[in-house]
Order: sequence, then C-alpha cells, then structure tokens
Amino acid sequence: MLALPAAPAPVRRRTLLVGTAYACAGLMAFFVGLIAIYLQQRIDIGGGNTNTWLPKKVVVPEPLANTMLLTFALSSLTVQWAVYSMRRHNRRDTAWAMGLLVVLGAAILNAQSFIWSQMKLPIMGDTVYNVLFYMVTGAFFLAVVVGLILAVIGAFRALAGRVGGDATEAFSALALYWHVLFGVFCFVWYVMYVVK
Amino acid sequence: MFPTSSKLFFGASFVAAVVAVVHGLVSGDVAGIIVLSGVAIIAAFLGGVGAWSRDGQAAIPSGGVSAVPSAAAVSSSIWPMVGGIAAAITAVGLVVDQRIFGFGLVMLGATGAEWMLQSWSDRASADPAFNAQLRGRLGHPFEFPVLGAVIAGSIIFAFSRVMVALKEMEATIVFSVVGLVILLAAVLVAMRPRMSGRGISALAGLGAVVLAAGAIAAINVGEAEHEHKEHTELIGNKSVANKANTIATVKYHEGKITFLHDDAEFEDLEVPRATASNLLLRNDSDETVLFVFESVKVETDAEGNTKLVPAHVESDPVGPGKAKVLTVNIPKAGTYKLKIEPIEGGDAHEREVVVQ
Repeated sequence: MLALPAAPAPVRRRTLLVGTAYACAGLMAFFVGLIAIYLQQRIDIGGGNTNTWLPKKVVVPEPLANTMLLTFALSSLTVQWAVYSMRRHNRRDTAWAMGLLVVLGAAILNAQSFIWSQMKLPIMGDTVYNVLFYMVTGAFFLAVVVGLILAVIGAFRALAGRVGGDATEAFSALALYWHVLFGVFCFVWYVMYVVK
Repeated sequence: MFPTSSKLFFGASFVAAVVAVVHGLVSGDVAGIIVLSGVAIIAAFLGGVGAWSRDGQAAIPSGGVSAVPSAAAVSSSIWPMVGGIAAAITAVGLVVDQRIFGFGLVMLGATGAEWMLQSWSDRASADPAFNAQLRGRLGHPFEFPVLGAVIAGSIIFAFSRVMVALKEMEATIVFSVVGLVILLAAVLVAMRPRMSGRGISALAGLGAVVLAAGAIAAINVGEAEHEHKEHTELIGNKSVANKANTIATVKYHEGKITFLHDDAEFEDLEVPRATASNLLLRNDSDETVLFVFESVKVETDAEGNTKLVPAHVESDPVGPGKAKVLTVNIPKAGTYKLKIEPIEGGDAHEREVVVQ
C-alpha cells in the first residue's frame, strides 16, 4: 500500500502574468508573420508600389484609422489607471477605469467595423490584397474582442468588490495584454493604413 | 542581476537581431527581415517580463501581501514548449497543407495528454521520485511503442530521401560507408559496456542530426536522374507524373511572348488535349501582368447534357521578374489564344497555342 502524504498545493505567484506574457508573445509572432506575408506580396505582386498594389477604386479611410489609434492610446492609459487603483484598494476608481476601458474597447471595434463598411471591399476580390487585408484586420478585431471579454469580466469583479491580492494580478495580466494589443496595432496601423 | 529566463531571452533576442541584419544585407528578403526582427523584439519582450517578474517569483505588488510560503517542487516540463510548437505547426498547416494541419492537431492532442499526465503525477505525493515512477508506470506502455514507431518511420523516410537523391554508384558507396560507420559505432558501444547513458545518447543524437541533415539536403537536391529514365518530351503523354511538370515556359519580355523548353526557344507551343498541363509563366518585363488563356470547357446543364462553352483561365498577377504556374486542361483540340494583359492597362499581347 502506498502511504506517502499528498503533496501540498503549489503556490502560484505571478504565474498568470508570465502566462499572459507568453500568450502575448504568440499574438505578436502571429501578427509579425501576417504583416511579413502582406509586405512580401505587396512587393511581389504590386512591385512595392501602393498604386499598383491597391485594387482600383479602393480608398483606405485614414482619418478613421488615426482615430482608432488615438482611442487605443487612451484605452492603454485607462487600463493602467485600473491597475493603479486596484493596487491601492480603490474600488470606486477601479470600477470607473474598467467601465471606461470597456467603452473604449467597444469604440475600437466600432471604428474597425466602420472602416470595413466604408471601404466596401469584397473578401474574395480579384487580387490577394482583399484576403490579406481582412486577414490582418479581422484577426486583430478578434484579438480586441478577447481583450474586451477579459475587461468586462474584470469590470464585474471590480464592481463586486474583488480588489487587491490575486485580483491585482489578474488586472496586471489584462493590462499587459492590452498594452501589447496597442503595440501590435501601432504596427498594423502603420503597415495597413499608412504604407498600405 | 538577471534571472535565468531573461538571460536566455535577451541572448536569443541579440542573436535574432544579428541574424536579421546579416540576412537583410545578404538577401534583402523583406519577409525574412520582418520575421527575424519580430523574433528579436518578442524575445526581448519575454526577457523584460522575466526580469521584471523575477521569473514569475516576485511578490504581487498589492498593498501589504503577507509572506508567501515556498512553492512545492514540481518537475520540469517540456510540454508547454511542445504545445506551443504544435500550435504553430497547426496554424501553419491550416494555410499550407492539410497533412501538416493534421499532424499539428495530433501533436496538440498528444501534448495535452502528456501534460495532464505529468500534472496529475506531480501532485500524487511529496516524493518526486515516486511521482516520476508513477507517471512512467502509466505513460510508458503508450509512449514507447508510439515513439519507436515515429523514430523508425523517420529513419526510413530520411534514408529513402537520401537514396533517391543519389545515383546508383553513389548510393552504393554512401551506404557502404554508412553501414561501416554504424557497425563501428556498435562495436565501440559493445566494447565499452560501462559507457554512460549520456554518451550513448550523444552518439545516437549525433547520428540523428547527420541523418536529418542528409535528408534535408537530399530533399533540396531532388531525385537523381537514372540512366533508364527517358528524356522528357515537350508534349506531355497524359501520364499522372507529367501533370506535376511544366510542359513549357512562357516568357514575356518587352512586349514579346516566347516559348521555351530547357532554355531553348521554339515556335509552336502544343498542349495535350484533356490533360492538366502546367505552363511556367515568366514575366521579364518591368510591369505587373496577367497571363490569360482563352479556350473552352465542358459544361453540364440541368438535364445532364454536356456542351462546350468558352473558358477564360487567368493567372494571379505576376510581378516584374516573377514567375507563376498556370494549369490548363482543354477538352477539345484546336487553336486557342494565350494573352498577356498589363494590370495597369496598356496593350495586351497574344500568341496562339495548339491543343492536340
């Protein structure tokens, strides 16, 4: 008969944060790969020239993309405000910051949807540009949706009074994910909406 | 100063950055530069997170957390890394090849099972040796046969690639030498029964690396031409093997279309009827063009009657200095048109192609 005592439950410290960092690294690698394919195709097919690369009559709405970038910068600040408040057990400010983050996240998704509707670009067009554009922006849209779901959960936890301790760790992980999303979007914005 | 993971990732970041610079200077390949730079940035990011969180051991900065008890010892695990690789293979396979995608899924499933098994055994008792024994008792009956089959299959595949890449005489020499080396290695192991497991592992590892390198090189070289192999005919003979080959190269340069085979120009391009035939389209002009093949295809109406209708097969846009393959399959013999249309407008050029 085995009579050894059961092992004590392992104590986790910053496991969630480190795990999130690895997930973020995967996310970054995914977008780096997509953008690399996009730029390579732009050179192979369009000869590196925006005019020959973009399908005819397609206008990329740059002001909308710039608004999206600024909204992202604001949301990145907001999520850090939430972490700051959480560390100081300030439940009210944490709830406000998380609520604002959810609103800004929704605004980002709305801006992306509006860009798609303004461009009126069919998914399966005559050139590979259409597919690549939707691949990059659509994948990023999904990444923001994931962040928004985490933010909604965090907002409810803050409203329910879960502040300090492990909850801080969860918020730090969310903040890390959101900052990485912002960094990735800077890259996506420059390639898809500025360089095109 | 820096915890272990930071040293690893900062080192990897530095190496990737150097490789990106060298790759950029040597090849100028944009995708490669971006990917390698991305690897450098991502590794630096992970190194930064590792340093900041002290490999995840730093206390959570939350207004006066009490002292945290030391963590229970858990065995080191390769499954997170293998799982990451499996996920990457699955994602790449989704785009590149269904077989790679399937392999990735199988790898993901196996990783999940192994990870759960290790996680379960780590919590079985406070004695790591007993936990490892318990894990082995449950896992080894499944792992060893599968691992053996995978290794045997890999060896067979690698040897087959090397064999097909060599000519008859070369194959005889190479495999005589390989057989001799394996024999000598076996004699060495047999004469030194006290040879450590680590030494044998190193020997086997070295052999695996050499075999893998040989297989990769052989795949790059391709199949060797043997004396009994017939000279490739210009016109495909409708065999399955010929479907994979290009029957001719269509070159577009300074408004002129030329037909080439083995770099020799010829006048009339003849394509076999009712056979999938590949044409290599080479754009040597300084504009992006489409290659368009105007022909016919079989269409079946609602009552099941078939008729021939005009068909329009076109390539993806082909950039300056680039090449693409266009597959055509014409059901009816005749003379058809191969057109070159510049994407930005301008005069189209055409030549006749005979289908027989």
